[in-house]
Amino acid sequence: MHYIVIIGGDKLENSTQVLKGILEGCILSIISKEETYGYELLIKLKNNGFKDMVEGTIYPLLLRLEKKELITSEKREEQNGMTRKYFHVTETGKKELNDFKIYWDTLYVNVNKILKE
Amino acid sequence: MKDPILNKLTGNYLIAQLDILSYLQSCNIPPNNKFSIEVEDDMRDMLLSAQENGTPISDIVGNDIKNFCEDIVQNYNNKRAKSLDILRKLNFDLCFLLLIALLIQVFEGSINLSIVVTFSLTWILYKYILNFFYKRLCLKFKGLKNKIICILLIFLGSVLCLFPIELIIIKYCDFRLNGYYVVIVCFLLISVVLMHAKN
Repeated sequence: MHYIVIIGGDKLENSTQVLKGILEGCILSIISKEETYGYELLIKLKNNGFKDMVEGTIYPLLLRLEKKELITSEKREEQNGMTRKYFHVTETGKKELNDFKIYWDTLYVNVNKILKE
Repeated sequence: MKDPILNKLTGNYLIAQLDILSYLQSCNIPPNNKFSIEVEDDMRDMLLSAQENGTPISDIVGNDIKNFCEDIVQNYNNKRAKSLDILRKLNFDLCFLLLIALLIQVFEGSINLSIVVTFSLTWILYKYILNFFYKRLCLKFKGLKNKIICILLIFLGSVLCLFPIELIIIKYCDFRLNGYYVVIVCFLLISVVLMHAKN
């Protein structure tokens, strides 16, 4: 994934708004495919190459997405007696995800065009 | 089957959980607040999963826990919830003052103005000072024991700073008041606060 290299370069801090926006899009995409909980989401993002970039960002982003009503959560009791929160994407979230896909496709094409010049 | 031993955070994972909750409290988010309880449950689940799988704490809270806490607090910018918390605290203080005034009036026949002023002023100042310094120091004092020491140190410092002010108040506000009037004023203020909270 080229964009990880571009966005997460040494000169840019991981906490930039651009990266947060991209992470939000990725989180929405993962949750839209299947309901997920916080820790599982972290592991999925790490396994997809976001290893260093997800540090300390996932939970505040989940709170933000929930506050913006792009995702919703449901608490369930696990076998070990712990309560776990599972996230689902709302209709507004699905629309936001579609907007993100369009934004990302355009950005990807434009950045590549400039880099290849 | 529930296994309380398996559901416990230990070591640095427990310290991280305590740090986050302490920081929320220092930002005037009460521990019994819905947001606070939710964060506590979520963090426990995430940190416990990390502990069981050997995932570093930094993956969950990042390298700077203060930034992480600030990011969480930013999601609690609900003005309505904030003002309700302030009103709830104010009402609690007024009820406490009302109780003190009533007790003194019943047993002594009147209440000294200095008690009312000292109580109101120092109560507010102590809380403000405590929160102000605790927010800056709570993440430096790791673990429950050290956090209690931190609170005690700030409290002692506040007492030393405010003691001269209290002495001045006691000296210059030496007027006797009817405690029942103080109770009535407190009641009126509580009613106003409650009405404001409902709106």
